[in-house]
Amino acid sequence: MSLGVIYFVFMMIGSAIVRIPQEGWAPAGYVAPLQARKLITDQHVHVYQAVRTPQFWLIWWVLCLNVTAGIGVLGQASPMIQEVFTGHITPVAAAGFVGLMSLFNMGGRFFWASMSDLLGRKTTYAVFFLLGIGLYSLVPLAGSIGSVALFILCFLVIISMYGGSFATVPAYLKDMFGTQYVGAIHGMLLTAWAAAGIFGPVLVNYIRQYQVEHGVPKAEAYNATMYIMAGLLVIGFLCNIAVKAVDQRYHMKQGEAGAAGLA
Amino acid sequence: MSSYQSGTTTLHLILAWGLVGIPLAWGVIETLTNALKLFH
Repeated sequence: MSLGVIYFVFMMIGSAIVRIPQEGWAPAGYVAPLQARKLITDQHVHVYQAVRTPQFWLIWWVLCLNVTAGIGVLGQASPMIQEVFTGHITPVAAAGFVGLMSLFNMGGRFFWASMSDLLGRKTTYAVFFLLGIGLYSLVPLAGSIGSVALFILCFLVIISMYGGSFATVPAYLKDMFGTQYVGAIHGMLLTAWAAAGIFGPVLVNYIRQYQVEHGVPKAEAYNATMYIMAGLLVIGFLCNIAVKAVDQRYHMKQGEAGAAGLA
Repeated sequence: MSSYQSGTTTLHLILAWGLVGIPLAWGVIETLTNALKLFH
C-alpha cells in the first residue's frame, strides 16, 4: 500500500512536468557527429513497420535473453548464495548481497548506457554477452573453490549488465528506427522483458529442483543453470551480431513524417 | 542547434533533482549499510 502510494505520487509528478523538447533542441554545447554512422539512422520507421523488420525481433531476442539470464539470478540471489556457501553466508549477509546487487543494477544503467554512447549500442551488447558468458561460466568455479568474493564479483558485474541492457535498449531502438515512434516501439519491445520474467525464474528454479531431486548436492545445484545461462547468452550474441541497418523500404516518407507531427 | 530557451529556473532544477536525489541517496546509504553485513 505504502509503495503504491509512493509510486503513484512520483508517477503523477513525472507525468505533470515532463515535456517533449522543441524540434531541433539540443543541450548547450552539443556538437553533432560530423560523420554519419551506419547503424544510426536519421530516418523514422512507423511502429507498425518496425515490428515487421528483422531488426525488431533480433533486438527483442537480444533483450529477452540478456534479461532472462539476469532476472533468473536476481530472484534467486539470496537462497543461491546461502546454498552455495552453506554455513558461511547467513540470511542477513545474503540480504546484504541482494542489496549490493540492486545498487549495481542501478549503477549499471548509468555506466553501460553512457559507455554505449562511446562504444555504440551493438558493441555494448556484444560486451554484455561475451562478458556474461565468461562470468556465468566462472560462477560454478567460484562455488567449488569456496571463493565468496569471486562469486559476488561475478554476480555484481552480471547484474550491472542486466540494468545496462534495459538502459541501453531505448537508444538502440532510436538508432535503428529513429525518434518518431521510439516510445511505442520500446513499449512493444518490453514484451521481451515480460517473457524473460517467465523464462528466467522458471529456468533457475526448475533446473535447481530437478538437480536436487536427482541427488546433486544443493551447493552444486545451480551449476547446470549457470552453463545454460551462458548458452542463452551465446544465442543472444549471435542475434546481436545479425543486427544490421533497417532497409530503407521501411522508412517513413517525408510527407508521412510531416503528417505524424514531424517538421 | 536551436536558440530555444526553456522556462526552467535554477529553483526548478534544485527541486527536481532533490525530489529524486534525496530519497535515492537515502536508499543507497541504507542499502550500503545492510550490504556491509555481507563482509562481517
